[in-house]
Amino acid sequence: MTPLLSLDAVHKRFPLGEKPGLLARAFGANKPQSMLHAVENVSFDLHPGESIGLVGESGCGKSTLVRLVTRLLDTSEGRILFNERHIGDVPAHDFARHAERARIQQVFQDPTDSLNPRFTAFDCIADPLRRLGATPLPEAKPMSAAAVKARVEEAADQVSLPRALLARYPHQLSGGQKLRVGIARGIALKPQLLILDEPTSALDVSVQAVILHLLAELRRELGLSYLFVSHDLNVVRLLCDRVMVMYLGKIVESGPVEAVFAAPKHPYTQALMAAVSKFDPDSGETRIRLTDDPQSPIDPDPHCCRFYSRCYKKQRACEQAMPERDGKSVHQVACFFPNRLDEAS
Amino acid sequence: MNDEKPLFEVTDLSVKFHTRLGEVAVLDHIHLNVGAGETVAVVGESGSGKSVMAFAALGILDPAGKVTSGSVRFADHDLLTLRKAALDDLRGRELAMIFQAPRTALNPILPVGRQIEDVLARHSDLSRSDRRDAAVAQLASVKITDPAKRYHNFPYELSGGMCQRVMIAIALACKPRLLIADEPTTGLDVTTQVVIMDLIAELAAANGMATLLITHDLGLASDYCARIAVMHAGQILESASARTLFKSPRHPYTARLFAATPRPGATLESLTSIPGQLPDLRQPQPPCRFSTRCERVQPGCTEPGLVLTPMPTDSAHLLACRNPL
Amino acid sequence: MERRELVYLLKQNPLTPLAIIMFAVLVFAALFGSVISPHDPFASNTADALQAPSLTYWFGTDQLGRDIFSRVLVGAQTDLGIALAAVLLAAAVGTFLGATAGFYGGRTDATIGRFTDIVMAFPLFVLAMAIVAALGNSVINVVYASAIINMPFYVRVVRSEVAVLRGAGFVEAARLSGNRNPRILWLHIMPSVMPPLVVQMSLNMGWSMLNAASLSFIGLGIRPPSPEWGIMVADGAQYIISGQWWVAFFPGLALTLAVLCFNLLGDGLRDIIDPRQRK
Repeated sequence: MTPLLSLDAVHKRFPLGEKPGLLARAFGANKPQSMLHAVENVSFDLHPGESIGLVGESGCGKSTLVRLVTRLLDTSEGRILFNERHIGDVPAHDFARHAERARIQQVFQDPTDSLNPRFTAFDCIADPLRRLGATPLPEAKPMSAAAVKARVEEAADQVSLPRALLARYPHQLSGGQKLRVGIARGIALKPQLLILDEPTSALDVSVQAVILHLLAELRRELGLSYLFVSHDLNVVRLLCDRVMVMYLGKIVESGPVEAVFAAPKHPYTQALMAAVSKFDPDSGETRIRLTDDPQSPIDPDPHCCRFYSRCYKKQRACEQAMPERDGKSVHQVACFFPNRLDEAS
Repeated sequence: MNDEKPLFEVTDLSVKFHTRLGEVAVLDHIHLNVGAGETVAVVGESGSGKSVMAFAALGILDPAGKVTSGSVRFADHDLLTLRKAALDDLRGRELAMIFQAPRTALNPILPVGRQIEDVLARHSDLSRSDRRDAAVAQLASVKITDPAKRYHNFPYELSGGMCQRVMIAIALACKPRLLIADEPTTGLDVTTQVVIMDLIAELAAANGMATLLITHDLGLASDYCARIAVMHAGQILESASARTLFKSPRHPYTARLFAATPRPGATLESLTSIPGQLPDLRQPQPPCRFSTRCERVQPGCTEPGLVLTPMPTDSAHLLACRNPL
Repeated sequence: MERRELVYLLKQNPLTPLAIIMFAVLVFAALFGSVISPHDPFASNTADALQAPSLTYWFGTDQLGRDIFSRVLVGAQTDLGIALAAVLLAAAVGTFLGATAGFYGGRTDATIGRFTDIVMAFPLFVLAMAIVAALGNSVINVVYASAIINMPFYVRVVRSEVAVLRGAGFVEAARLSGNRNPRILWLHIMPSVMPPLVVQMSLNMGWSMLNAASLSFIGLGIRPPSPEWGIMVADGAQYIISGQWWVAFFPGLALTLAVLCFNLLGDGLRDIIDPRQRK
């Protein structure tokens, strides 16, 4: 099966500060510019209908990776294939009118921030249809107002948003309703890939459950593929087939959800798992704690494991070469000592 | 310990807010106590009034809010009637509070070490150089590496987790007897979250300090607190030891809250949401504010006089429900 | 907005209804001043020169015996008109520059920022005199001068609003919906900038009226015998010492009240339509 989305050795580096000007260079300011390595050597395949969870702490580069996939940012290196087309080569600026624009959509993290306060729910959902909606090929004409209305209402039905609420402005809706508007907007164009960026993190648990059910159902019924970004491992486990753990721009572990949750191999994944509540006051805890601050993502040492500063099982080898995931196995880990016993303190 | 009066006691506390949309009854006859050295969590969803309770207790309520009934006692002081100077003296010395968003709670233009010193200058009679040493020691006590160097850092130079450690260092500088922690780890990464919570727990145990944790996160509460009070729409519905609450919740809301929270081992099928929404507190409310969302509601639920009462079988298990599970 | 919310806000700020009433009076005077004025504002009657306020001449008469009340009434149109034209022009240009600077940032932002800094460094009177000297002493040139002086306020307000909103989630969502920059800026972001912009315009109106009156006070733009508050104050100034205070007092009072009205109105509007900035 050919993957829907395929990333091959994708890098994203941001230059820091101003480039030295002409005058500065004339006076010998030839220091190379510092680079922030936000995403480094990321490769993965996402198959049609699959749901992949992307987990990592804030600043680990998962937002940047998402923006690379949604083509709001240009890559520094590497290839992004979508439906076997090289969408990574299209400049982000021109992608707004690209044929694949409608196929990659996103549900944003903060339902309040991501809805225009001056648009009604209807206009929020209709906006992508008005811009990108088209009648089927070969005509591919813009959708008529009636067609837009029909599709908006259909999308509202699909996310169980009462049609009466479509006339409301975001501030007149509850958090859960706003999120439904955001999801309806995400599926309005019938995309193939839906990126879910911490969709439920702004919601209370009582509302979260019904949204998680909705997302699972939509995926099943519409045959969507999900790239699900979250910090909540318990949620990822419920909604994803595979999980990728990201740390300082690199994917340090990936594999089927059950395998990774049952036996995390990378020390960072282990620390993440240990931080998840067991919901049981009597459980004997595995106390793996990350004490030090993470390393700086600015001009990192290319021959040192990114997790070195915080790792509880670091060795000499870890600061002499960068461990990479091996591309073959199902459960991959970028660590030299994945099987060493966890002498957690 | 039961014979003694608890260290911190909220009795029958009600708070109303005047807003542009009318009067809102944010807290409805709240009872809560924290014994010396005890760790208690108040768990509630957003809008449940859990933070308002802490603010009211500390006398830092927004001017739009008014306490309409009840009292708050800390040791021998009635916090609601205490004179401002006395309250200021108490806060920071015996009573400390840490908040969500540590970066905004710190003064951005002072080095963090100086901010600890300021607290010491206010509440202790240490000399200047002693204060400085104490501040460095305090930074070391919250496990900040290289404290003498960090002393000079400004908040913007530190990560969110570091800032929260500094906040803890400030809060605990005078060895308070009670720490009120309002969502102390919200917004921090999960791995940082547990480190911060470990730190609070460790320091509380070392100093015999009581902790009142205010959180929306049942998991966090169960991992770190001995007793949990569940709050909904300005009412405390159930309060029990964490173990009892997890094994056998009696209030329908508590049970629904557990069922709605994704937990290790839970499946998507087993995850159920809570029907309805938080009631509109501008409208008159029935005695049990959960009754409009409750599937176990019965005619008796609308009769007045619902109070948080101990269970006959377990006096430490308090419940406000006419038709418990 | 719900009705009780509005009632609550008006109760919180009782000066707002007062400002609205003053504003209504001002607009009424500007529209119908020449119709309802009891005397012809231009008719001089030397026999009745410098009469103190009386039942016939409510605000008294000036040195040519013209009715000051009528002249104040009719003068509202001139001052309000100049101020409004200047504010609209300043807001239009300032919004365009500010939105461009805030949205595109970088070098564009820096260039526009420096430009407004230069404009802000010009004293109003010097700029107005320069423009009048170069282009002639006409009302429209005074409007230009006033508009240029006020423009930087709009650039700043709009720039800062747009720069914040540029990073909002809904902007990113708009990109994913296939919107490109100009559409995002003008159709998605600008509606949210309107409330602070309107507040700024209202606050600015008072200031702008003061500018118009000041310029005519020194003889730029409007010239006698047009009834205009600045000129009237200038005319009356020489009579204050000799005891005929009313000649300068009433136009001055009208100007003060108008400026106050717009300032109160701006504050009130801010409370109502832009609650974020409430104190």
